[in-house]
Amino acid sequence: MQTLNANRVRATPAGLQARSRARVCRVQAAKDGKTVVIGLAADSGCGKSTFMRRMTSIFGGSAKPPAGGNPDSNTLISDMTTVICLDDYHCLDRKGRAEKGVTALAPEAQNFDLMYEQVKAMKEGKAADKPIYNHVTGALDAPEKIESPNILVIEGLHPFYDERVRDLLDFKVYLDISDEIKFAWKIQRDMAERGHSLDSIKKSIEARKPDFDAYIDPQKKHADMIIQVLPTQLVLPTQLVPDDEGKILRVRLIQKEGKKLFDPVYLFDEGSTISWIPCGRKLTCSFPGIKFYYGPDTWYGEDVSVLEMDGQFDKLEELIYVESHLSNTSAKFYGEITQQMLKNSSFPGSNNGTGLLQTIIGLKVREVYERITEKEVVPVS
Amino acid sequence: MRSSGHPSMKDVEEIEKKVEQAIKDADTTCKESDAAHCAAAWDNVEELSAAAAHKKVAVQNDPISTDPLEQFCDDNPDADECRVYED
Repeated sequence: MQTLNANRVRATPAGLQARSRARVCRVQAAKDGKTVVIGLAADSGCGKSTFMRRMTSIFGGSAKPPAGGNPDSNTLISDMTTVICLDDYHCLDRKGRAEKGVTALAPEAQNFDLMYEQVKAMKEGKAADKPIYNHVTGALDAPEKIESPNILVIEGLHPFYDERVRDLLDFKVYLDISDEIKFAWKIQRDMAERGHSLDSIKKSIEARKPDFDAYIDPQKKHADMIIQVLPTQLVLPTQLVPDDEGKILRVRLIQKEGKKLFDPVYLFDEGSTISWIPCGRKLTCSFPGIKFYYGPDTWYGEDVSVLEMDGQFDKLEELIYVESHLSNTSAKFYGEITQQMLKNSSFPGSNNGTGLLQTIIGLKVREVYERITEKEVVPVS
Repeated sequence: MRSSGHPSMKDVEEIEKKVEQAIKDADTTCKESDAAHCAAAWDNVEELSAAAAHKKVAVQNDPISTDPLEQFCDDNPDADECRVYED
């Protein structure tokens, strides 16, 4: 079907047929009731991240930039959720930061007053004329009007930095990638690019580290849930094929205890400590297998429960077997986690803990939403 | 950005050229300026590298962008096959 958009159509037979179908308008359901605000701290660029896509997939619809707007918009809108990128609140554009010698990680480059004002407005049901930071040109483009959604997700480097903004958030997630994994992922992303070399990738990471450690990392103590991505402990680094570096992962879900809006997921029994290898007689796994860990811990002085997965899923059976042994996942039917993983099987991390634990966080977001609004969200088929 | 609003490989190439230039600028800045300006320059490289990667994914995920007819029409907007009806 050759449609360019709803109104412009190629004059081919398929195009003309599509033209009559193309008049369907997608209308976001008119919002009534409370707006739940979720904060996601991540260093991976905004709105297009896999984590975001997994989270919004639980609520249905596919996330798209605002129709008819700036094609370089960072905002993603789907049936119930709107994801905004906090880079849009930069008060210094690329030129300004270069002149002053300020990175995008520094608080001086962000307009926290505007961020607070607009997140507050959308939480109260009002629309906001939000600026657009264009990541290609590095300039601030004309604002776009964003309507108040059922679920507002603010994603970026500083969602919990400003106390006023932090207090507006109903649920906070921090994605904590270890230095080794960050390096491995950036090599995979950039090595084939013209201009890049191992040296330039190293320099870029090292140059950003001081500001990252000073301004971004300290936010993780405020999160309700933290996902840590670390190198696997199932095999020694020397045993790993270079292609597998950064692919076989140990992923930890750190969950704060005693929160009214969600119950942590657990293995076997809450508060106990357990190591579990699902592979054995019932289930054969390929190398290097799968290992789970669950246990209590403290995180910056607060009680937490940690659920950890190391290794890779190879087959569907492994996933459903693991799902059936997890408790308090907030899934609404047996196999919902597996179904979500299958639906999104093209996303990176679909065969390891990042996909599994991010999907579980998505279900927890749904639980938070239902507890706040006292409404039920029908699970997506 | 193409008028149809769909990302294209040309958009990707445009960003990749910026990445290349930004790396050169960072090397120069770090030799000639202070640590703060050096960090800002490499941060810029990271921002552009991320943008390039995102654009590539957007192109791969967009069925229109990978449609051979659309790619042909980019270069030959006056061809018969590329006539457009507009409401």
